Amino acid sequence: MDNMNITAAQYVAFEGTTSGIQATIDGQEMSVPLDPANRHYAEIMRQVDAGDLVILDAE
Amino acid sequence: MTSKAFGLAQLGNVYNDGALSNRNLIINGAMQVAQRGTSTTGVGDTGYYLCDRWQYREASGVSAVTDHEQSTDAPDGFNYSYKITCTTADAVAGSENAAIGYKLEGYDTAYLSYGTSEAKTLTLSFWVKSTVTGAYGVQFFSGSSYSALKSYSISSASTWEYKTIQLDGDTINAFPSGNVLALSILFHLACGPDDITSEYEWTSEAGFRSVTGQANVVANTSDTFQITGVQLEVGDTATPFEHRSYGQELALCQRYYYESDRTRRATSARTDRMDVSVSYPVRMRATPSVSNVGSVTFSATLSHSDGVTLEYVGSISGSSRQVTLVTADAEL
Repeated sequence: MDNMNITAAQYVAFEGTTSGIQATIDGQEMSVPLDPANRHYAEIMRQVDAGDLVILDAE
Repeated sequence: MTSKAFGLAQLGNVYNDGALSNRNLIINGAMQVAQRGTSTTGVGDTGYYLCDRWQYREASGVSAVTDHEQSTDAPDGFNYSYKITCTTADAVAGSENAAIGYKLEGYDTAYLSYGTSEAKTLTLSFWVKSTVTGAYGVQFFSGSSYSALKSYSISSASTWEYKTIQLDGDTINAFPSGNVLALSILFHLACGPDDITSEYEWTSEAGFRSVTGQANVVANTSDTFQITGVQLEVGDTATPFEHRSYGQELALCQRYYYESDRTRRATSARTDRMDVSVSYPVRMRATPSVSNVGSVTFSATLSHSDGVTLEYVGSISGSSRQVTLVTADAEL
C-alpha cells in the first residue's frame, strides 16, 4: 500500500453519467477514472471504506 | 576479460532458459528514461519522482528527506544511475523503512509459472554504489501477501559494485494475473529494528522486512545510494545487461506514465465550455489518472487507456485555451 495524501474528492458527471473523480492527491489535482486497476482510484476507495475520506456528489 | 568459451556456455544457459532477447523483465533498468524530470529535492514521502518505473518508498513515518537525481555518474557501459542523497537524517526506529522499488504487472510475469511445479528461478543483477558499506536487503513481493528476502553487501564505499541475486520460484503461490500488480522488488535503503530478520524464501509476509545488519543510507546527511543496470531474468545465470534503444524503453515506460508538454489549444463552439483531446502514444496499462497545467484546470470527461478528452466549464478567454502540460498516470 502506498501512502497518498488525499485532501479533496468529488465525483464528476458528463452528460448525466458519473465519469470519474476530481481529487487532490499529494497536492496535485487529478482526474481519477472509475477503474479498480487505477492505483489512485483504489486508494480513494480504500480511504472511503476506512471512513477517512468522503467523495462529494457531482455538481 | 570473459573467454569465448565461457561466453558460449553462458549463451547456452540463456538459450536453455528460453530467452536470447527480451529477457530483462525490468523496464528502464538503465535509468535512461526520466519523463518527470532529472532532479528533485526535498522528497519525504512515497512516490514516483524521476526515472520512469522506479518508485521511492517510505513506510511507518520515517522522517528522512532525500534529494533524487538521474545522475550521469554510472559504471562503464551505462549513461545514468538513479541517485538518492540524504538531506535530513533519520536513525529509523521501530518499523520505519525507506526503499527504492520496482513493480511488474501480471501480464509480464505469467510465463514464470509461479504457483506450479514449473515455477522458474529468477536472477536479479544490478550495479550499486553507496557511501554506506554493509549489508542490504532486497525484498520480493508476490501480489501483496507473500514475499521473499535476499541480501547483498556493499564492501567499498563510493565504488560501483556489480551484484547478483538468485530467487527460487514459488511453487505454491501464483502471481496475480492480468494488468494488476504481480511482482514488486524493494531495494532497502534503511529499515527499523522491528522489521529486521534473516533472509527467507517465499512465505506469507506482507510487511517490509530487511536483513540483519541492513545499512542505513539516511542515517547521515550527504550519504548517497545509486543504482543502475537492473536486470531480472529467468534462470540461475546473470547475463550481460540487455540494452534497449531509448525509443523502445520510452514506449515501454509510456504504458505506465505519459507526459506531454506540447501546448494544446482547446476548442469550442460555445462561450461557456471548451475541450481538448489527447491521444496517448501507447495504450496504457489501465485508465490513467490525468492532470493538466494551464491557466485553468480541465477535468477528464471521457477517459480511456488510449486517450482522454479534457473539458473546462466556465468563461473562455484567449489564455484559458492553453493547455501546456498533460500527464497520464497508470503506474502500479
